[in-house]
Amino acid sequence: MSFDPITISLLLAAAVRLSAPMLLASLGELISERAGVLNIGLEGLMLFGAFGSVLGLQESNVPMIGLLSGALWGLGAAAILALAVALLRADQIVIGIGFNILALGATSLLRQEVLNPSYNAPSLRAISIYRIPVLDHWPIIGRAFFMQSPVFYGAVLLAVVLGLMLKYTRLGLIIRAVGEGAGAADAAGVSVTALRFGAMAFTGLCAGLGGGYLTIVASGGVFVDNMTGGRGYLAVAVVIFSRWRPLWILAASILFGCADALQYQGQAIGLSIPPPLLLMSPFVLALVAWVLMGKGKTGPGEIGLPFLRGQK
Amino acid sequence: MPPDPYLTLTAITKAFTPGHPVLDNVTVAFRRGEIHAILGENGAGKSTLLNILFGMYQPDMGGILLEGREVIHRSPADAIANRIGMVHQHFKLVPTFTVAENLRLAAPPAIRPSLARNADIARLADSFGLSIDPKAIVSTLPLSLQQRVEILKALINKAELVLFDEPTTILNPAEIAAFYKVLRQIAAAGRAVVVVTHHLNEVVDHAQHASVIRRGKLISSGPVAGRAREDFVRDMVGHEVDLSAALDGTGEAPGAVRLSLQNVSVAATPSSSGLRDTSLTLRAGEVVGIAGVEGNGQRELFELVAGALTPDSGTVEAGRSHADGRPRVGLVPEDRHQEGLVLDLPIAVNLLLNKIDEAPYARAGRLNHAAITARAEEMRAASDVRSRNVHVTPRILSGGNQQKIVLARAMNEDADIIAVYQPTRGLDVAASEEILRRLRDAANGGRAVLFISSNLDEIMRISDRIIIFYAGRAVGEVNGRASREEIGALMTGGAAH
Amino acid sequence: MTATITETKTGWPDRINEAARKLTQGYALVVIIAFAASLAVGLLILAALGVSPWQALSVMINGAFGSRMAIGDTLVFMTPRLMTALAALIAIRCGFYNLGAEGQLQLGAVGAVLPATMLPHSLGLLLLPISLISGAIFGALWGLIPAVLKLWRGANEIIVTLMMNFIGIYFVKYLVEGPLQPAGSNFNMSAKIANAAQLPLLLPGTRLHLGAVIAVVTAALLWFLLYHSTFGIRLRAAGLSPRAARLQGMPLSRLILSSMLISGAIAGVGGAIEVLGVQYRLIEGFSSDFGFDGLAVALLGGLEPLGAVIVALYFGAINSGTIALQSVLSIPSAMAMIMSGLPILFLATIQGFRLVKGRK
Repeated sequence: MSFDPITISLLLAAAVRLSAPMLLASLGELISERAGVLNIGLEGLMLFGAFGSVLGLQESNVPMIGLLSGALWGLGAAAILALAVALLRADQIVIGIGFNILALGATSLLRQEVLNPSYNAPSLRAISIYRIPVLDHWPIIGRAFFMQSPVFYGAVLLAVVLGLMLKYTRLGLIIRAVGEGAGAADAAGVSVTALRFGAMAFTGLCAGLGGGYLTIVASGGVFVDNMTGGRGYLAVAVVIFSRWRPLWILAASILFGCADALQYQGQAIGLSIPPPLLLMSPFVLALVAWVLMGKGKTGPGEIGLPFLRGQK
Repeated sequence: MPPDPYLTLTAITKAFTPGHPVLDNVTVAFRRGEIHAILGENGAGKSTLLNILFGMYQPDMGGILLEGREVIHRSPADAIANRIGMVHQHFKLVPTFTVAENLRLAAPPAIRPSLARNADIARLADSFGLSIDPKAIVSTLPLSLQQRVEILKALINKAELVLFDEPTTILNPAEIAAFYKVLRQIAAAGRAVVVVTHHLNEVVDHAQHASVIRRGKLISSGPVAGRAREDFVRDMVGHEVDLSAALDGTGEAPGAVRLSLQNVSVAATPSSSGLRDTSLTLRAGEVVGIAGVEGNGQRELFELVAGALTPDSGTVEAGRSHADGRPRVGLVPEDRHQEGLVLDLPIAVNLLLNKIDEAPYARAGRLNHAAITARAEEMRAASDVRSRNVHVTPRILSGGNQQKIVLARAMNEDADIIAVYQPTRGLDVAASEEILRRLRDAANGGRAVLFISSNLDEIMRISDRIIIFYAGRAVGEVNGRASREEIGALMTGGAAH
Repeated sequence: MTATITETKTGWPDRINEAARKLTQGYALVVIIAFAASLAVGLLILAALGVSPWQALSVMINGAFGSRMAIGDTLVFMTPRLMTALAALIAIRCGFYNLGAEGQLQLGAVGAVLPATMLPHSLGLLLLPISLISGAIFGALWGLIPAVLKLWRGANEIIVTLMMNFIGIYFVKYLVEGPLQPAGSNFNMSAKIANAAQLPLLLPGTRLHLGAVIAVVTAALLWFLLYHSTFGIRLRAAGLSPRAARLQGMPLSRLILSSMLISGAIAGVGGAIEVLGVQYRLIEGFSSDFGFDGLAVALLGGLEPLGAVIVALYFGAINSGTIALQSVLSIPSAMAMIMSGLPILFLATIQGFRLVKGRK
């Protein structure tokens, strides 16, 4: 195994690059969970986003429009999910599982019916890499953190903004109130239904963008069935063991990006871990983190519960 | 002539299931400057009335007149906008938020700037005579202070009419007095105050106006002055009942020790003081009442006796034990729906839940349905459980019938101890009386009854001895004929005699 | 019902189950509506793809039940979903939200393929039961982990079982790309299992194997366990009302551990059956989300063994029916997943709606 600065720098750069889908999806999920919705359907939302972005790319030939399309597909799918969960109070876990089965089938069907299998994507470099001058010349981390897609920078910014929003703004107060004590929020005149709907829609937007990034920035504009491979479920776990804190989510996402990066570059640095074990490692890591977290603070008090006015 | 009402509920009718109105054509008027009590038994419909006024439910018929003009409350937001505040029985507070965050959450836009700093909030609270630490996390506060936050929420919203749903069940006698002092201040400032309660003493002592609801109908409404306690009881129950008559024992000296707790301690939790070095004995033929404000160790005591909790130190000894070492005790737990019954298993299984793996109900791990049904039918008949048969689930039964199942199972346990915890909570007077009667009979028949309750009237009527719990300790013991004042003083940590 | 004594604040499954159970009346009708609605949506999609719904329907019915072979296929497709459904059902009835049947199925397949490929062929007919039992043990141990983590650390089982599904899937991938891949092979699969370890075929000319019988018998045994044994009634009491069960001295921890052992074993046998009766080797991706399908089957079947059999049969028919759609009308087989996901979405939504209505 070689540990020269250039290899490490490249590996770190790949890890950061591959962390963005997880980061975006987790940040979206964060808002749902803070508002009391455990959105297991995240996996399906990412999948719809991934498909939607390729569709947008093929139709427009413009990568940014592809990403936008992915986000909108995520939003649209989330609206349906939110209709069932926030408005009609469907069981969050059950609906999530069903939604993911449906998403797997629907995106596969759409791929075969709608997408052009021999489509040649235009150069994606423009949205894949944007150098931040000066900083990108820092040794080792310069390349990793300051030669990334604008989407990644946006996601980091989003993490910071969401953190501040939750802590210091009235919207943040209301979101947290709906997750911690929906009855109190309702009594204060907040529409729990509307807020949860909005939170889930935001989750869809982020997850869709994350799925789009996965296809367009990380996979050269190609959609493959089930290409999220459990990242959505993982993102749900990331949010929880990051204890609903955006900066922790950022750190955990980059850590999991490392596992992805090692798959592609492990051999380059002479690492002999079989790829399936690398694929497995984020899930093992998430499990261990979750178990170590133990019986401490367990997050929004009413997560997973439908809000029913008048319930004691 | 009294002043014009500030708000009138006119001809309110509401049915959750068609044909069974919870409220039937109820009209009441609330005036400024008055404490208006709404009295009624459990299930009479008084909370529903409040919830309709506050926009939580919509009435099927009838409406709300605010200073003479009709208003519609589709949600609590509408009610708040119309300057109505409500202090719910189960507080509508975000438990993990600070006091300040809860107040900011509830505040209307115009008020928010004045709540930006914690110091402003503290000052505002002081100005209402309701001092509180804005930085405190709500879930760590005692219930009386949480209630104070709820009242502040209403006042900050400039409520002109403040509703209270069963506000005093969580308070000790001293806190109740302080609470009504606050209410008098609120009313004196020209607001209307409405209190839903089933505690008669409070109505007689503190309210100016009282309306009584029975089975969804308004029975009476008028000034309290000049009416006797007995009048209200008759209006509530529908016939003469003497709710103060003692349930007497046999008069014989209690027998052998059946249950003995020696120096038990259990760690405190955020919602309870735990138990600290507490000792207690229970003898055959006596009812021992455990009085105290909730959260002073009663739950731990019950769970210890049930064998569901192991003390950190000290011993629990019962006359007879199960094979696994748990004391053999017939149990009537506090929460009928969650702890007393498995609501979705048949009545038969519920009646025999404590014996379901014993012969003849089971052999070699296999259930004997015939034996279970036969015995359950016997028990159902003996306990007068009104259900079609024993194969339906208790979910569909009334609270009184549900509690009869729990009590029948407790009596059927091969135990000479029965431990009950709030056995009449949520029951109407008739059902409560029957449960109390049966417990007294069980004691008179030679069993030992541990009677844990926050209802002092009940404890005083049934108990031979009363032990008062405060902060996890048995701070005093009095005999069954002690005065309310004497017990009340002990409940607030006053000196034992 | 999250059962446990150890549960602190988030009792998700606890309260979820409670909400779900409030609505047992009219459940069968709701399920039928859910199926009818999803069938209608499915036919609409087919119409959008330019296929006459009636033609599609007749092709599907023919593909599912039209011949001896079709029926055989339907039953073969029913089997793993019934096993995972039964696994989900027994755990959820005990108040443990086991979403991990997929992982337990994967491990069960591993457990079966090891003896079936490695033990000496001289064991003969003993190989089959040994492989099945080994599959059960692997699945049971995999199922035990989330139960232990919950009781010991208070780790919520929903997240744990979800993570363990993917660990199981990638573990199988690792095995068939590495240790279990025969030397010189480029395919991601293990060696073929011994002939004696194969589940016997039941109907000549079909793929129907003994596994289908094992699945149905398991359902019957589970029904007996739930409704006619003291273990079953304690398990149900603990699942419905853990606090009441605890006060009556029922050992909640032990009940959860045993129900998860049984649950994992059933899912494990399900995986073993796929290896021993269908694929005859361990293959990456042998399970097309059987675990999640099984959860849907269990819930649609009202968490009843008989209900699970009926719904699993429907899922099997959808599977063989959509394969016929693909071969006859060139409709992508992804239709199967759409048709499997829709009913549970409708069911959950209708139930949620009833919950809201019940409150107003």
